[in-house]
Amino acid sequence: MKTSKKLIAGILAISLLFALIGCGGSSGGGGAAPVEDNRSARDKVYDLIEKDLTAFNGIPAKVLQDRSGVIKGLPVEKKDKLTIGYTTGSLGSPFFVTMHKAIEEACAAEGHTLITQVNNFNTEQGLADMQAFIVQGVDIIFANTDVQAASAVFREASEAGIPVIATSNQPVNYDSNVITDILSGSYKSGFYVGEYTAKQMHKKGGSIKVGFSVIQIGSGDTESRGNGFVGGYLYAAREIDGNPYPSKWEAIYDGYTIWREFADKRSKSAPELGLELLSYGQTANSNPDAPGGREATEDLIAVLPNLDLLVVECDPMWPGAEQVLRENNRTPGVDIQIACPADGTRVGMEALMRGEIIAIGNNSSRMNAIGMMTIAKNIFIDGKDMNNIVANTYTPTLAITKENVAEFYNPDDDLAMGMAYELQTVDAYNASVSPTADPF
Amino acid sequence: MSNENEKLTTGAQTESTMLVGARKMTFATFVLEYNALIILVLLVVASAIISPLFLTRNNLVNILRQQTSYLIIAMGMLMCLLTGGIDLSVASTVGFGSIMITQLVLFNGFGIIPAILLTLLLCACIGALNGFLVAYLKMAPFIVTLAMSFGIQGVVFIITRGMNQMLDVNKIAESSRALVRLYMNFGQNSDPFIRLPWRVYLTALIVLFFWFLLKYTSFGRLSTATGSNPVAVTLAGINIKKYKLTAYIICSFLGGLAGILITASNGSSSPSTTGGDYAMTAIAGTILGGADLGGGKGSVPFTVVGIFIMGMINNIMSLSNVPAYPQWCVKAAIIIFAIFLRSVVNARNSR
Repeated sequence: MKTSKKLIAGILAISLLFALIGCGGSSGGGGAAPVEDNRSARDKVYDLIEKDLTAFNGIPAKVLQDRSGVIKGLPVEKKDKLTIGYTTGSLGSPFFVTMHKAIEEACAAEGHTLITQVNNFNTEQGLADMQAFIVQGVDIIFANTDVQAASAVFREASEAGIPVIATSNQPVNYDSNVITDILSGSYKSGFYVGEYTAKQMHKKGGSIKVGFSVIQIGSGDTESRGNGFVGGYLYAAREIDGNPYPSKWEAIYDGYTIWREFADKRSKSAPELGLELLSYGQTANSNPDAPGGREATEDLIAVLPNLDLLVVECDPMWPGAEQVLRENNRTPGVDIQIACPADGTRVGMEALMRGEIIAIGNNSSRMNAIGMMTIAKNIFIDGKDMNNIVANTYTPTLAITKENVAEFYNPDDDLAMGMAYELQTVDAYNASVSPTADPF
Repeated sequence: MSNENEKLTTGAQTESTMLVGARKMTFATFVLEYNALIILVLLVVASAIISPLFLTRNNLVNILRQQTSYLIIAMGMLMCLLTGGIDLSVASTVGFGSIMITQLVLFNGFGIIPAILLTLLLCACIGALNGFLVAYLKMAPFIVTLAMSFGIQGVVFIITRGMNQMLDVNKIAESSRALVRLYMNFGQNSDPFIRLPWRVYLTALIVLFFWFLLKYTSFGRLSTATGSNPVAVTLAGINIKKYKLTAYIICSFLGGLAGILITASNGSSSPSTTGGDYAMTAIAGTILGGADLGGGKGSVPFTVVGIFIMGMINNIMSLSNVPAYPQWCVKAAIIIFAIFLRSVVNARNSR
């Protein structure tokens, strides 16, 4: 009798767990968009962004709130030589290595002291690193960590008079205690790559079979790049079909509807729009590197031998994905096409030059580094007012293709050259927003 | 015996000795028995010498705050280890506890108190499942809890769809906001008098509770006996399965509580919390503090010492700007040294 009671208790526990799975569909993402035909596509997209911000990194906001009242460790006393505390998620991929190298070189050139800690994307370690920097009394903190989890530590640093510049894959709220969060315009890079890919592959009235090798569904980069790719592909495909969208907003809206269902159900067929999204594979440990590319591609290629296009989320994953393709007798650029919404590594660009990859989204971490160092210089050396910079600064991007790869490729550099950009104040941003123009 | 007494009387001693019960404790034995405490003291002294910032108030408060989650989890892990088990699923349970709060409050309309209670209940159920499989079905704890770790992680990612969630009070009903703010204040703020984080007080209470439980209650003593001599305990008519089951329930309950605190202090939850180093740090800290993987040995005070050893190693290396990757080697060396001392003690004791 006692044993059966215990058995019942165990079954109850398992049932509770599975009940949670059953009720777990209400998390996070936007789900089905509201059907209100009288609203503009722009308004509908901003409604989606409100519900699912992660899938739209890089889409400019409708309007920004003033940030001048938010504590950010400003103003500071001017000084020439700074001590910078930098916690980075990794030094194991070209993106992060390039960022670190650029900061290191800038510090060496200008005589600053750089203290680097690697948190391995471990949130608690990132917080501990920043707390150690606060104790050490650094002048400024560069934080590459979970910006939501770190909000309390950002406040702590700011209240201690230490400005923080974040660089992450998640946007922050306007009231975050950072000068700004510099991040990739992942949606835009996905959109541009999708648009170019459609121009190369879409035939009027036709559709292609697509698989995705991604880092992790649900993460900011994966969601934005994938969502952007689909939106861009649809936009160009409709032009080729002779039925163009009135604006990019409509394509963005339709793209999200397809992407969301694909990400949730792992399959979405929309042949009338030119796409059959058959499946995705993802890395085991969110590692954006060659082993991650292999993990994300292996099962996908084994079960989907007839893919027309493989979207590899970022080209550091490409060598692993390429190996899997060749093991399965698929030749990239010949019987299967490849597109990469990010980053623009040397290896990726060389594959592009060989015709193995159609397009790569430019995502130069050097620009993140330059942005951080520029802000530090503005604040401490030039005494400029950085108190009302936009909360999220997106680095510029475009699709690297065979037509323009020579502008970005340097055999001595692991990552593509980036594009210059300016730091923008909230007022300047709001003045520049047009309610009728395309978002980019 | 009389010769020894004469030695003490005349002061003609060739080494420092003291009588402890019926056994002499030499200086060497003292060092081996209390090696964790000695290592901690040495670390504090070395840290103070290496960095003048180590003994600053801010830094010491940081250390206390950073160890709260690990200490809470370690109390549960100690319970499992005492009964001869282990729980590798605790990191996933921490993540589960962390995300359930945001899920229930943001997406299911729960008030914060019912959300906390339900989360703790669910985590206890996870522990019950672990304990049932280990104690009643006699499955190997290492494999069972490792498998559960993957399962719980999967559930977490299914529920959250891999996304972080900010506990934004503007997205919940007005009637619930005050308590949610209180909950986050508890996780993030300090008392107004000596400015210790509130979570440190909660952790201290939990540690004191478990110290009392293990030292002064029959439940605590029998839990320890379950691991040290299960045959004798069974022959004495004690149901050891009940103690093992309870140990796993406690471990997962405390894991969930740590996750709830993490969400309070971060103001957000992340499914990647399931991949954190909580299980390994709790196990390492508990073993450093003298617990035995075979069961039947361990104490709350020395577990606290072990956890602080782990925390201080991280802290002093950060303060002295030791690069990240060599830090791992240094940490490994210190832990291996401490475990080596522990094995020497065990070998001496068994002789």
